[in-house]
Amino acid sequence: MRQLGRIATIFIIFLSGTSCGMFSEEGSEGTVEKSLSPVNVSEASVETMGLASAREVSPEALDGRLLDNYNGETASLLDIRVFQFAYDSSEILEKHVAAIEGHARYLIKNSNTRVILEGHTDERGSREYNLALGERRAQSLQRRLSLLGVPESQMSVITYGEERPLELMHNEAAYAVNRRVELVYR
Amino acid sequence: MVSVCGLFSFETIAEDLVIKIEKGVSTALPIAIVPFENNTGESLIDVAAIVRNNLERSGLFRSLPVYDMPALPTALEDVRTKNWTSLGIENLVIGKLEKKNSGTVDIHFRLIDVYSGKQLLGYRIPVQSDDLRFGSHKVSDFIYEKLLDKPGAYTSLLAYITVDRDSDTEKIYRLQVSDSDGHNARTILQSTEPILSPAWSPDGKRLAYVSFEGRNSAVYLQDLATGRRQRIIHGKGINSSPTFSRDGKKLAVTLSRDGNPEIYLYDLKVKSLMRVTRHGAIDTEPAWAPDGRGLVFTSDRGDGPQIYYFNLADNSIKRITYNMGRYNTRARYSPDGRKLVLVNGIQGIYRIVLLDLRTKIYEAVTIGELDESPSFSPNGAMIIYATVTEDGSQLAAVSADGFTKQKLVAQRGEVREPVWGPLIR
Repeated sequence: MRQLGRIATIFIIFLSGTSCGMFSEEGSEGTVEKSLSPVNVSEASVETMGLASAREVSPEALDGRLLDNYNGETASLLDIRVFQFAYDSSEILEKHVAAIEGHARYLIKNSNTRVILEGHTDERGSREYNLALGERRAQSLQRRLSLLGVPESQMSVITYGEERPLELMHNEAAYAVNRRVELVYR
Repeated sequence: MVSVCGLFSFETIAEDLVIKIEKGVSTALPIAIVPFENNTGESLIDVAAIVRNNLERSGLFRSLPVYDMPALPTALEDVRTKNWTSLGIENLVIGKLEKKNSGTVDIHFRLIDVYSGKQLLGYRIPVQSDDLRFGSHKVSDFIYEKLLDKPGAYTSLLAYITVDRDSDTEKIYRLQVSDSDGHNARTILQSTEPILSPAWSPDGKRLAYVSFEGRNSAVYLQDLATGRRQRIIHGKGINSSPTFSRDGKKLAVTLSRDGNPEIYLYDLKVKSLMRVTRHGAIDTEPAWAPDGRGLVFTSDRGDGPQIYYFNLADNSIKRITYNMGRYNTRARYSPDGRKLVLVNGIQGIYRIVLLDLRTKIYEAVTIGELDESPSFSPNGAMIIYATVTEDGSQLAAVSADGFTKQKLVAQRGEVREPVWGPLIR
């Protein structure tokens, strides 16, 4: 552990009460006091903060694990784990209903399986508002799964807002991909 | 499990931001800052150049390039005022660097009114030799304040988040603090999970921020001097958007533990939470009014996200943004409390807008398409924000009158969510 920081105290000493001199316009000789030696007229103390140390946090990545036992569910339906949303909307799109129902049946049959619903938004607008929007999307999917009979205890919601885009481009196509909820089995 | 590795230095990682001024004003005050004489026998940074850049960046000064200077005086007796008045220069800064004892350098500087022939300021500033940048910012503050009769903000600091996408496998998020000119960047937190919403304590000694290191958002508080940090608010749902009250005793935060995002006040001493808003819509992005009597926040309870004011005295709520389109978010007060700076989205274009709270007149002060996170400088003269360019997200600043724009560009990676720290007095 290394202390990088320091407290730097800086004293500012008013140069001289008398050195605020006039000097002649064309002043070849000048009438100004030449010495810069300090006279302790007024003394200001300024403190900068020492930015001591940096820390690193490295959480383990949480990967969605493969479902080894599909329990009769169509594998292709369960492979759909990313659900898109329209701009500023948290409504489930019709095209995703079949896959969501598949996940619901799977979760009901496998009551030890838990799933995390991760809400995401596109990058436009403010980050904190997007964090809230991402949660609303994930909750929307959670409500749908709940209506289909999945116990609340098997689901948890997390929002990342705009922090984890899948596409980095700044265009409509990328935004559409990034507005999503991801199902992460654990 | 999540591991929090110990203290560790990042001095080689933090990269300075490069500032590009894009537009200036012609009414700026003409000033000449002569290169300082270096009597230390050591190779030191160019103090005069830092001061020159600082003053230019405000848009309120126009400094004479060194190659146009008729002479390079460093002592009062060498100044020939006529040389400068004939060039239209009103103020002249001269100075020198002297070595006192090992490790310490004295910056001597004088500000001269060349028309009256008077010295307006003269100071000796002793600094550690590796702290000359701070000394240069201090000189800039003195000159700014003397000539404009308003406090300078050059010695204040910026905090912001960088994201490094260099590696394919994972992103590195860093919380950094730099000088107000983007130089001297230091990383104070690094994580592979998102970090967002840094907020300065009013005394400039601590930063609150949100980190996802625990697999969910949580609010942390970190002491800058020691690097000590603690997780202060966590729980189910969103734990985010911290901002300090002006007395530093409370944090306003957004929590969704009760089902949807609401504004809460967290008492830092008692460690208690008080719920402020109660509504099924999204309520987030609280910011304290400078008088401490209320908060503005973003809510989509009405017509899209809009800015509302919560009066802490009577718990009343009133909408602030009307007839400004369907997207108005993340408002912050000007230091005098008269204006709000916020993000306004119209037809897919997101810009920084300045709203006068009395006249209700608003104007866009930026020209980007994806501008966000505006923050006032503590003297109210500048607004810093994040903008998306072909280089990714970068910081930009604009003078509060909208006339002078500048970009602070990182060498690599993205820079986002700048927040300007308080004045250090």
